[in-house]
Amino acid sequence: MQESGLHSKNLLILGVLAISISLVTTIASLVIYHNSGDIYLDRSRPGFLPDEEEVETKPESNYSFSSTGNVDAPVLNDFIDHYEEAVDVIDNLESPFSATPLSDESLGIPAAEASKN
Amino acid sequence: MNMSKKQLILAAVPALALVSIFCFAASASATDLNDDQKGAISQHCATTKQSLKTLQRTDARSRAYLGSAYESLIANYITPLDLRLISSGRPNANLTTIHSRIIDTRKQFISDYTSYSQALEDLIATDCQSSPEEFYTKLVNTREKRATLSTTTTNMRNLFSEYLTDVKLLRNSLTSTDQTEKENK
Repeated sequence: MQESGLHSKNLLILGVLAISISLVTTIASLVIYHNSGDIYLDRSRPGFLPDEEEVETKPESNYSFSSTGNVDAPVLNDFIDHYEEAVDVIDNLESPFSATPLSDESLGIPAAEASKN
Repeated sequence: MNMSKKQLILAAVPALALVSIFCFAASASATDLNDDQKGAISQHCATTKQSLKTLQRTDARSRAYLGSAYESLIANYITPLDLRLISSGRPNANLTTIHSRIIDTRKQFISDYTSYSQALEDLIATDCQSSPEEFYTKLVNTREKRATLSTTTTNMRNLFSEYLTDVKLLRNSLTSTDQTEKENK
């Protein structure tokens, strides 16, 4: 009887210990995830999942310049043509991170001079 | 000569003090709000927060879009061309330098984006209804970080153009070399 009581007590300690270790490691990993800034680059978190329209317009190209072979003018012409197309993809995004969305005007904050009058 | 040095130092001290006072006043005025402004922030708090949350999602989208475009240009164009130039015995110092600057700027882009996102999240978490001044101070900080991020994207775009210009120069030099070789034959 005493032995089975001891076993159940040890089992309880083991369970509490296992839960405590998993809690500590989960909290530590979440702290690292947040503090390293990875959370801001992670688009799989709720509210930041790419929508269908975005998946369709994702910049993708099957072209890849070969890293082997001769380098002459026709090869570079081919490179330039494809490279210019790939750079155009960046220009498709008009003024990324412009100041407008955070301006006083956009946020409905009156200008200092105007509100004094 | 010694006198003029002393005079210069004596003149520099009040000048520095004036500049410090001016800078302090300028920074203070950037976040000093009048009652109308405080009222507007408190009144539009819910709408502002909603706009900021929408902006947060749009920015995450822009970051992903630009990130893949940068990655594609580096992995599919710039790195293979540099390797090909080296393996064919035509290493180009200018292109290699621009390549390493592009890699550095890409790291800077990730770091600037992370810093800006942290500031934006902190701004969204601030209670603009009861603390409009604190909210505005954080807004000014977020704007600065966004401006830094925007400058980094512009720098990155300029580097890609610079790389293209140098590839065109290389192409032109190879064209003229080929022509000379044909003429000699």
